[in-house]
Amino acid sequence: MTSSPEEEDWEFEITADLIQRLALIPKRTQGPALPNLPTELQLEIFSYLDQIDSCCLGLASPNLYVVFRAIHGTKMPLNTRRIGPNRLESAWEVVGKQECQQCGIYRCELHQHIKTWMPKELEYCAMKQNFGLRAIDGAKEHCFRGKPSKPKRCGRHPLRTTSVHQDDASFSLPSTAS
Amino acid sequence: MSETKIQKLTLVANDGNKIEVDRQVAEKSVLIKNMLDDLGDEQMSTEVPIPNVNDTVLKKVIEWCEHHKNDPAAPQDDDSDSRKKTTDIDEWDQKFMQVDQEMLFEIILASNYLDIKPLLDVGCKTVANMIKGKSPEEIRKTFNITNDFTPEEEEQIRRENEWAEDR
Repeated sequence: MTSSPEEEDWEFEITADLIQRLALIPKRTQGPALPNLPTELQLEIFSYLDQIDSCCLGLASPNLYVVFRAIHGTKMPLNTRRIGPNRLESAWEVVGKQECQQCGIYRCELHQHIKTWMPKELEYCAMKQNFGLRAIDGAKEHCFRGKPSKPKRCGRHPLRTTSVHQDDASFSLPSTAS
Repeated sequence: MSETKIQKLTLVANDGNKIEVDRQVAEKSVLIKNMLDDLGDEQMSTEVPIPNVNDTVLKKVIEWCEHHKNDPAAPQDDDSDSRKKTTDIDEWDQKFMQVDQEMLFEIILASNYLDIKPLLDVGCKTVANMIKGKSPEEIRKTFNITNDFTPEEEEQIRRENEWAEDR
């Protein structure tokens, strides 16, 4: 299985590029609610969130998605993790069991946090690192390399295809955004 | 430049209510501080209109400024580097921020307008802490956001992020 991108690899940084992307977001009606805050204040809130939480916030509303997209771009890997002890680490003994509502005692990965946002008929495959049709009844419980010669073939999801690559199109806000 | 006598300042909220505060308290707002610096002390007797903030919110903001009036000024451009920000909030501020959401966002907007960076930080951290660990649906529920995405837009998001297999 390919390794997950670690949170340490990413840092919140305001770059000229980011500011330029933010400048493309159209003006919006403002009010005292999260989706209607001015873009710069939403950016401020995003700056306190890691990749997984940023993504979840982005998927909550179109106004927030465009800000998320300006910061993190597209194609955030579904196995993106955050810093923290995993279930086998001795840190549990010190800090106590810290369960995530989405991931339980397992280490947080993005796909767990957005699985309820994905269509119900799809499930995550750890080998292909995408969502696709559910495994058939009687399949093994976990994803595993189905064939030694094919590193990307999943034994639980043998029919799964990879995601087709797509260049970024611009995400347009709904015209009735308010 | 530091005269020892306490100077008072009258702030006028957008609904006309006047609130008298110490100059030291009012100067937690960089907007007001810069304005006083620019205009000079002769203007001290004049009322300061705060047209973007209503009475309730202004009182709340002043309450925060009163409590933090003796805090050392934060080093400038503290956040210019890319270090990870913590979301720890001190206890008094946590209690202070236990307000309804409309008030929370009003405080964030007011502190942004009045340029009170530490209060803005506390507000944004509070919101960030409400978001952490939640799924998109749970975030919507927490902040009373209606799902404005059309199914086509959600499909577009899945496609542009390559999150779902190609069928």
